[in-house]
Amino acid sequence: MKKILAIALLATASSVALADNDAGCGLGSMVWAGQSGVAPKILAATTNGTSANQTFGITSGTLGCQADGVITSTARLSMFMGTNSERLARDMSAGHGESLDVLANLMNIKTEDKGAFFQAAKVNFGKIFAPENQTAGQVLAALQQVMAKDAVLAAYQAS
Amino acid sequence: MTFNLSRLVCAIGFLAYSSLSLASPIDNWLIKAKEQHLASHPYWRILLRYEKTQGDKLISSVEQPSFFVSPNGKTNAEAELKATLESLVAAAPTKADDAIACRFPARAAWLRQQLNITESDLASANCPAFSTWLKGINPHEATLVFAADYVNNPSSMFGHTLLRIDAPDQTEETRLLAYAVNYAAQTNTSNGLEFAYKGLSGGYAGAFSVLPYYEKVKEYNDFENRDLWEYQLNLTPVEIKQGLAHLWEMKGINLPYYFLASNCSYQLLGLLEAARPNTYMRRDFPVYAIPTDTLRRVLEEKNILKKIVYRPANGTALAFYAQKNSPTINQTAKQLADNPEFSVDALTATEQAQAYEMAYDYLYYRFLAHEVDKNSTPSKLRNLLVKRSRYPAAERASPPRPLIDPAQSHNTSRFVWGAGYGQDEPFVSVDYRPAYHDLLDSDDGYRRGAAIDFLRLQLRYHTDSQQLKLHRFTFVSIDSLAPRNDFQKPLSWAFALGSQQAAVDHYGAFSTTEQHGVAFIEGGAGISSKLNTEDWLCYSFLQGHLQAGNHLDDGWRVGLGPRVGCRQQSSVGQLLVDVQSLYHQDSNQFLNSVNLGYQWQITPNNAIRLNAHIEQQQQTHWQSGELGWVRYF
Repeated sequence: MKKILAIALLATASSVALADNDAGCGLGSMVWAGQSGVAPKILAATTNGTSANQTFGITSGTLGCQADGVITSTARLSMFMGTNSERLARDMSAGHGESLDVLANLMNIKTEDKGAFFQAAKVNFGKIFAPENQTAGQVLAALQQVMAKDAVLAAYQAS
Repeated sequence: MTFNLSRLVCAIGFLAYSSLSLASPIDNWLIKAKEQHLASHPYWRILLRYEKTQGDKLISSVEQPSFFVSPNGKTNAEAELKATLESLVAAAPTKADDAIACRFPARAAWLRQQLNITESDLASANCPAFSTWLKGINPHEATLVFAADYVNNPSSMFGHTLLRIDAPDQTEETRLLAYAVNYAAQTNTSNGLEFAYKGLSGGYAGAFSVLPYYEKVKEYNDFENRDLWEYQLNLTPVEIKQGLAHLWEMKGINLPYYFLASNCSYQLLGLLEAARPNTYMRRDFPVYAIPTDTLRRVLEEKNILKKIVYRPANGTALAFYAQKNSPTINQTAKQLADNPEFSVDALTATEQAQAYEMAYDYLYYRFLAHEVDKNSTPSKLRNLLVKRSRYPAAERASPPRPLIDPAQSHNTSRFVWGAGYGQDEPFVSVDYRPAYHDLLDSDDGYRRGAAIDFLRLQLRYHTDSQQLKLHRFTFVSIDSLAPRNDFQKPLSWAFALGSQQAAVDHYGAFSTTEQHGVAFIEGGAGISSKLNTEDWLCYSFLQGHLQAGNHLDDGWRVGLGPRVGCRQQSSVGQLLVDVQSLYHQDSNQFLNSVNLGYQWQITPNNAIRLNAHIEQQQQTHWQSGELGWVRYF
């Protein structure tokens, strides 16, 4: 019993640790999180209100990721993934699309390698968006693992 | 003697020269600024927002002291200019970003240009925060983005505008990475009524925000299902940088926010005026600024439009695919959205991929609309995409761009001058409406079936009896005919408030000879359908109204009953047929009415409208017909 409990605790601890490492600059965003709260659709659109954390200059919870509304160059990929993981998933499963193109651009994939990138991502979609990959960071890590195993894409592995 | 005189002249000359060089450049600038009346220059007023009248003076609409260099800056333009100039030569502060030239780069640049100040006269202008920000935005071109309305929300028809700053190496594919500049009310509430009230009455402050365009696309295309129209502008990189310098000055600064007047589109015009000096667009909107009108105004600038790109919303795409797919694909997709393991064996391989894609789009659309369970849906969405990924890659057709974009839609205000007969009595009429769009107007550039009218006044002068009557005053009238398809089943509805002439006598009984005024509030709800056609939109409602007036039996009456109608759009014009049969409690009878209308479009802003109206109760009826010339402006 104690052994099982210990293993269970260890398992939870390590998954928490993983989450911490992948949580920076958008990577902690859940994929398919949906909209938070009930949007007052009818009248919100009317007055085009915005919540305070969209204010130019105030960056809630994204210290080091953006300054005055502009994203720091090192955080571009992670911030994009954090916001666009759903569109990315949709494009990746179909093998083409605008968000996928932007991802390739952010990862500096050369034009001649884009085809291989899209194909590898689609073929391995199940691994990249596996059920245990709940956050954008985990998805990105899985994508990088897939690239590492690909003949052409291994060259892009960031140092 | 001569020798002493020349020495004196030399001495005087020398003294004069040294006093000139001892006079600091700042004194010269201040003199020059006064001579050129820079403090009352329109551009200085734009930068410092001297737009509010206080007595006979112009003061700034900004309250925050940090926006001004002088403690009197808000009310004194000269003091502000003087203080700004003086600060340009002041010693550099410990933190370079705190220098006035770094906090207010647009003002500094403009003053330097107006007064021919050379770089050597100033303390070194190294502004790390501003430079980093500008480099991050990487400005090269600008695009005005218009967000159209979304289904079942006619008030969103007024639209929203934001500006997108495009980078030099940006392509069609990487537009998402550009930055968006947005002006909006700063609010933390999710209470819809509070939003509406405070937004209209100026209860919120407004501010600019800068954020990645992809966040705005997600918000408008996905969360709110609003189409985006991207109008690429021909502003030069220099102009854009100038506008951005002013935007930097507006960082964290609050301006008034009034939904009708000082709103997103109005303030965006202000930004464009700062970018391109000698452009005065806000002057054309003294009372209210409707986003579509401001869009049209911007496009009036010479050679300003480069290209228009259409970005359909999720909901628009879903409706397009629903119509394009075969019924088998649609039916399978609906099953899959419920249960991703549903068998697709009956379909061909290509159809199977399409069914999974459709199922995903449908389920995601419902997920964002809070219509499906939040906890179990993400895994379904994932599952559907995993299954889709096993098929070959295939590009999907995109919803076609509507021929007429919102900027080319008919203008906002409308006059109709007409003449006709009411119960064989002739009349001439005038019909005025400041905004916005009704079901008989051409729907080019508008959402078919959505209508919203404000403060519409219809007057009739009866020539025989020489009586001028208020035929109808509509305070507000809204129609939302949202057609249904296999995947989207919205409720259609209508609402109106105002006063009109009702065919009743002094005692409230149906009359064929008299009409009296009644106030009304009416509404209905039901369904609409396109009846498998391209041009027709028909609806079927349960309609009710409450009328109140001195000439009604109890001073009021209620009617309830069915209402059906159809609208047709063709290349020639628009047809509207509306039939109601409302049972009234005071007469215990059905009061039937039929409205027929046809509008021939001559140009987008000129048309001829024919209206016929018949009201009937038992064997008696009231009828009128009218022909008028419609002009939008």
